[in-house]
Formats: sequence, C-alpha cells, structure tokens
Amino acid sequence: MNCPEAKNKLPDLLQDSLDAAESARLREHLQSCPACWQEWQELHETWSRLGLLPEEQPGPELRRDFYRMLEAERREAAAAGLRPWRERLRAWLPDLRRLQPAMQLAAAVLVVAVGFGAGLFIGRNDRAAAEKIERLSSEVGRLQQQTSLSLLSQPSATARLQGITLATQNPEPGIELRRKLLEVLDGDPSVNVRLQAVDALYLYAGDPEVRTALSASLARQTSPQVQVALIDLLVAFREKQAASALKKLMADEKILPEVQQRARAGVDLIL
Amino acid sequence: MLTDEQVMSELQQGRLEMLAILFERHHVRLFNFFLRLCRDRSLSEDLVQEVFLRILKYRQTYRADSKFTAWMYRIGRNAHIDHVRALRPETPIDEVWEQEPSPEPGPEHRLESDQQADLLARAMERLPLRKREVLLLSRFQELKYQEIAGMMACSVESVKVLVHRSLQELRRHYLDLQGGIS
Repeated sequence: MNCPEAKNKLPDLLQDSLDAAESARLREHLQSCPACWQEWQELHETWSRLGLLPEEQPGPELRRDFYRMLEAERREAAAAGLRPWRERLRAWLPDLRRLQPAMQLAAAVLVVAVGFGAGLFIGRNDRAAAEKIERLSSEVGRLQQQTSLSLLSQPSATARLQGITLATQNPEPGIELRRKLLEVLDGDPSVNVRLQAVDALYLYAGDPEVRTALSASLARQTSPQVQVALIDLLVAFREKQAASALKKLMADEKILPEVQQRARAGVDLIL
Repeated sequence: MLTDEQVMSELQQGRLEMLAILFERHHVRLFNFFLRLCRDRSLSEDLVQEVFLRILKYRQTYRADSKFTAWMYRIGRNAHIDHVRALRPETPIDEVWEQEPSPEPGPEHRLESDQQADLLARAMERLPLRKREVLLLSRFQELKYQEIAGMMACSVESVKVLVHRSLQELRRHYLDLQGGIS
C-alpha cells in the first residue's frame, strides 16, 4: 500500500469499517511510514477527543411539548380524515366474535355510531357535525378502553394480546388501562404478553408514575427477554431512578450474564 | 422489541401514537446533535420538535428499505438549514453550507463543561457548517460514510475527504485556542 492509498483509508479506520485484510495492510503501512503514522495519530487523537463533548439533557418542556403536539395531531387526524376510522374498524371487526356478550353489545353500538358518524361526514363542513364527531370519537375511546380491560382479563393469552393491541390504538388511554397494563407486566403468566405490555408502555413515557412503576417492576421479572426489553425501555426514557434497579441486577448471581451486560450498558447511558 | 423501521411502518398505517416510541428512543441524541451544531439550547429543543412534526407529516415518503436514523438526520439537517436560511434569506444555499460561523457567544451563553470540552466546543464552532455536520454525524450518530453520502448527495469518497479535512482543521483550531489560554 502506498501513502495516498493509506491516507484515503484513514477515515475508514476511524469508523473501524475495513475488513481484516485491508486493516492489516493499512496498519503494516503505518508502521513503516513515519509521515502517515503521524497523520493517523493526529486524526485519531482529534476523533477521540470529540468524545469529551458532554451529552446534555433537554429541558422537561421538550417532552411536554412533544406529547401536546402528538395529541393535537392525533385529534386532527381523527376529526379530519376518515382513515383512522377505517383503520380502527378494520382492527375491530374480526375480533367481534370473540368478545363477551356485553362487549358484543358495546361493539354493536360502536358500529352504529361509526355508521352515523360516517353519514355526518357528508355535511363535513358543518360545525355541529364536527362536534358530534368529536363526541363520538371520545365515546369510541371509552368503549375501546372497556373492551381492552375485558380482553386483558381473559384466560386466553391470544385475547390478552389483542387487548394490548387495542389499548395502544386508544386515543385517550385512561388511568384504569394504565394500571391494568402495569399489572399485566408484573404478573401475566405469558412471556409474550408481558413483552407486548412493555411495548405498549412506551406510550406512557410522559407519565412519572409509570416510570417509577417500571423501575420497580424490573426486580420482579424472571424472564431474561422481559428483563432486557424493560432495560431498553428504561434506557430509552433515560429514567435516572432506574439506575439502582439496574445495579441490583448486575449484582444478582441468578441473572444471566447477557442481561447483566445490558444493564451495565444501560447504567452508563442513563447516568 | 420493535425496530425503528417497524415502528415507521406502523406509523405509516395511521398509528400516530407510535411516534412516541421514536421520540423516546432518539430525542436526546438529536437534541445533542443540534446543540453541538448551534450551541443554543432553546433553538435545539425547537428543532427536535420540528423534526418529529416533519416525521409525522412526511411519514409516507419514508422508504422501508432505508435506515430510519439516516432519514431522521436528513430531516434534521433540512430543519436546521431552513432555520439558518430564514435568518439570512438572501444567502444562496451553497454558501450557507460553506459559510464561516457567526461570532462566538459571550461566556454567559457557553455550556457548562470542563475547560477541555469547552475549548473543543469553541474549536468546533470555528468550522464551517458542513464540516461540523459531517463530524457530528459520523462520530456520534452511528452513521456510516455511505449513509452520510446519501444524505449529503455526494460520493462516499467526498465524505471521507471531508471527514479527514474537518478533523485536521478542528485540530488546528483546538491547538490555536489552547495556545491562546496557556
């Protein structure tokens, strides 16, 4: 390898993206060429020094403003477009047969309500119609919540998974649903259901009570898969409170080494 | 655990709430990208918010076979450049990329950090925007030169040359500032 070739590959060496043979040839050249070695040293030193730039945390307003924006966008989408209705209906209809009789009635009310709402779209510019649709939308949210809660209490794991999916589609998930999801995370006998509950709980990132409950739940989890998913969730939230729970996992001999490794990496990211 | 790309696909199917997952995973890093680019906390927070709004707005233009973070940082660069251009509407776009930075902010606006990190941040500030960007994207955002080339609409070779030169220039500014204080 000559000097121009070597210089061209120095940035690849910084990102460690050369294959073993190329990397060996480059290093061989660097060892024999003082000028290229000097240049590499300088680049590498500056590249490493960039790591000194501190990672800052944004202010709490950013998260608050984001969730407000998201909520406003969701409301707008629900009010302006038919698509969310269609999607929600599609998610609902195949499940109607499995629902309990009371829920079948609620679902029937929903179908009628949606039909009525769709009819109102004919006079879409009408303000009164818009208000009615808004009311119907919150009605749908309530029905969805009841249905999710009912499904989450079913003996069949498939039904409980459907309950979680429905919960994540709810535009206004209530406190009861939040409590139930945390309960499922802590005590559901199925690993799949607990894993899906972890994913659903991403939606409650702005809720400090959920974040506290998640840190506490980590110690109660026995499945390595759920432990890892929960660690990822807490790290994604940058939940500082979780550090002590993560450290406990690291010290616990019963915990798998892979999980402990994840916890260790997580602590570094959080603190 | 869903990948970013799977979450995007859910988002494209109308599950807008899934954006929360992407926000929670990426907003701190994105915030630091902007902060290191412009050293302005409040502007950086506004830009993060703007990026997530654009992700929602342009979700149907995301292609499932491309890496989500590369797409997100492309949006981030555009949001930042739109901001810069709004401040100087008469400047042609090519000059915006190459322009020298604005004067350094006073000490009261500097980030609290140790002296070395502060020197480094000030050295970064002396780099033209394009060089600052390429260093931040390649060093902190886990993006390969190939992905950055796609983002900047240039060849991989150009990105590598730019990284090389940016590091050399950063080193010069850093040593220069260090000499100034010792």
